[in-house]
Amino acid sequence: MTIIQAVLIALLYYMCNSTWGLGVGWWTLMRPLVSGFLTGIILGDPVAGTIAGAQINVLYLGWIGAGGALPSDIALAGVVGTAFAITGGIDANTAMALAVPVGLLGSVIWIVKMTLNTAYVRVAEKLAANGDTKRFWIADVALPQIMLFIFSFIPAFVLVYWGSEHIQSILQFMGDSVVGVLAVVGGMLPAVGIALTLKSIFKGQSVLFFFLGFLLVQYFGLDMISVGFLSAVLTLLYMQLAGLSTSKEGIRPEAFAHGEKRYVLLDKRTIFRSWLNWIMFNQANYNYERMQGTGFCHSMAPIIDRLYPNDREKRAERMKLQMQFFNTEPQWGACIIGLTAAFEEKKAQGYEDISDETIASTKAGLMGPLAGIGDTIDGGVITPLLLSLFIGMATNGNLLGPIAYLIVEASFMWSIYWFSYKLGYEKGSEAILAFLESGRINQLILGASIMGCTVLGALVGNFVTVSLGINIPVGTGELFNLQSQLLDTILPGSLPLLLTLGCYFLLKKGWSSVKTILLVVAVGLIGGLSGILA
Amino acid sequence: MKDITLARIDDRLIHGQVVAFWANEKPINKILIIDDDLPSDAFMSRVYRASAPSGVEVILKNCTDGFSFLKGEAESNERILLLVKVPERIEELIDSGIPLKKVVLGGMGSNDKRRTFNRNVSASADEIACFKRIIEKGTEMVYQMIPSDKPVPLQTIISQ
Repeated sequence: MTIIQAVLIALLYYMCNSTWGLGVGWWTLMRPLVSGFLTGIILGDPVAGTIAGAQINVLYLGWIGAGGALPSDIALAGVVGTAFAITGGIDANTAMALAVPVGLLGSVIWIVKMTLNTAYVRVAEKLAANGDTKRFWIADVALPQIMLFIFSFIPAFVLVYWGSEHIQSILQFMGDSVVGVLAVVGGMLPAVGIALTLKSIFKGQSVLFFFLGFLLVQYFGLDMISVGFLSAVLTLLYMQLAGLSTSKEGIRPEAFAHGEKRYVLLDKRTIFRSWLNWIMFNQANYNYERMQGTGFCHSMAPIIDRLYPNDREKRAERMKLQMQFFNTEPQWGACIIGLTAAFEEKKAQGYEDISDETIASTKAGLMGPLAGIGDTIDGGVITPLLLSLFIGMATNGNLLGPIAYLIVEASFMWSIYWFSYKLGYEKGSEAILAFLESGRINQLILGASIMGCTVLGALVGNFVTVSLGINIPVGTGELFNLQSQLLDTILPGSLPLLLTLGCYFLLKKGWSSVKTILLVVAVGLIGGLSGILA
Repeated sequence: MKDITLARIDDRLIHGQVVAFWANEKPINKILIIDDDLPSDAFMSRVYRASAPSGVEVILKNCTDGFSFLKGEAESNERILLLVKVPERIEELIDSGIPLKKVVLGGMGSNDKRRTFNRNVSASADEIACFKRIIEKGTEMVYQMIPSDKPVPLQTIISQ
């Protein structure tokens, strides 16, 4: 690996975690499917990068970073794991086994960032006290991002540059048999990833669809694109037959008949700039003290600037209020930003009944529930569904997998950002409540869970590899292979299925993901070394 | 007396960590929120009821009603997640005779009176004193954002 390649990869890792992903970096660049593909481009082998990234991503399918809790740094795992796979010339399964500890290591960077970013809240407070809407970006974006760059770039560069140099000799030192065992372990680990995802969607009506997806691939040999289309049709059919998609309640009309005018003091351009600031910078200075507090204030800056262009003290008062503790799911929670913009506009028009307490308590009241809904839909069902679908397509290094995922996922997230913000600003709090009560959210969760279960079931056979290496001597020098001559004739893929369900039940029983991973690693090591598993 | 599956102090009440992590870890079918102001806030009451996962009933009670609810007869298959915004509610529950073995501290946002206590928890001097009293009364208190985090006993954070 050249120094330039290592620099580019370290830059890519910073980009994954940075605020420059146009609001969707968290959902796209950060996922190993995408970052593996991009690492592959840098190293001149996008196909190998896609294969390794896809494999690593299966472990992190159901990964949710909720409320500032980050279980593992999937960006570092994806970038470094893929770089090792390509430069070390090792297969995707072995790369996967190497990526796990890297991911755990990386979560330290997150905690350091969340702690140290608090310092920039002090800078933001000073700027807010001066009503300085124009330079607020220094505290909310520039300072925390420079620090994040340093904390991301250096470890990633060191890991990738020196790691890649030595990975060959380390693997040679370990010898073929140990590397072979690593591959056995890496092949089994995706079972934990799938089981973790199942934990949030494997219930009620969707259970059967998991087995359906498994059988579609194992018995009928369907590829992932066919499974995707088929599962979409089946999901819609099921929901119609079960009468689950017919509730036409929707948003109650009185919510629209609020009679209040918008775009009085604010124009569309200002609203757009507020929205853009939100999607770009909501977590630019994510920190334990205020969470998205400074990001919220940054999204209000264009509004406040527009409403009080010549009143510095008023700007200072509004900025201080809008910089309080705030934390929600950025996409679905965008309606709170829109609603607050509407409140601010009303207040500037002279409506006395909108007190600062009303604004603060509405923000604080709505941020939790919308985070719950957003994390469930975006992190719990939609992203695992799309990832499974496009990871399945990327199995053989089909570059359409990561590219199509990027486009579909980003479009979905941008739409939610946009419609949520507009709902909050244009229709107000009653409309948000009406939407929550309309039942559409539960329909979306159920539909995506059913389809997600089908696709996950299909993934088991492709990504979890575990097979028996036992040969029984029969007669004159002939060997009876338990795997190919017995298990495969009854139900191919039965061991991966059992392993996945086994992990699922352990997780369901309260085992932590780390403990489950360690058990799988132990079983893989013992099985691989003894030759029982191959 | 009702059985409480999980008791948590978290001023965002129902949100991602609760819905996407705890509710999967410890299957629950009722969320009991005890708060002085919420039950009389019609708008927020409806928001919380509408944002619970499907199959989970949200019950909002003020303190007095909350005690009598918890003292009521336990129903079979009832799995309750108790959520409160501040530690004082927990102390009042214990004082009025509701036995709580363990309470998880999840998150408390910063404000003018509070200072950073631990990571995403800010607390005032009064609230820290309240943590101590709860522990002295024999209730185990741990800081734990999500189930996969290692629970940290509150004593170790307080004594730091």
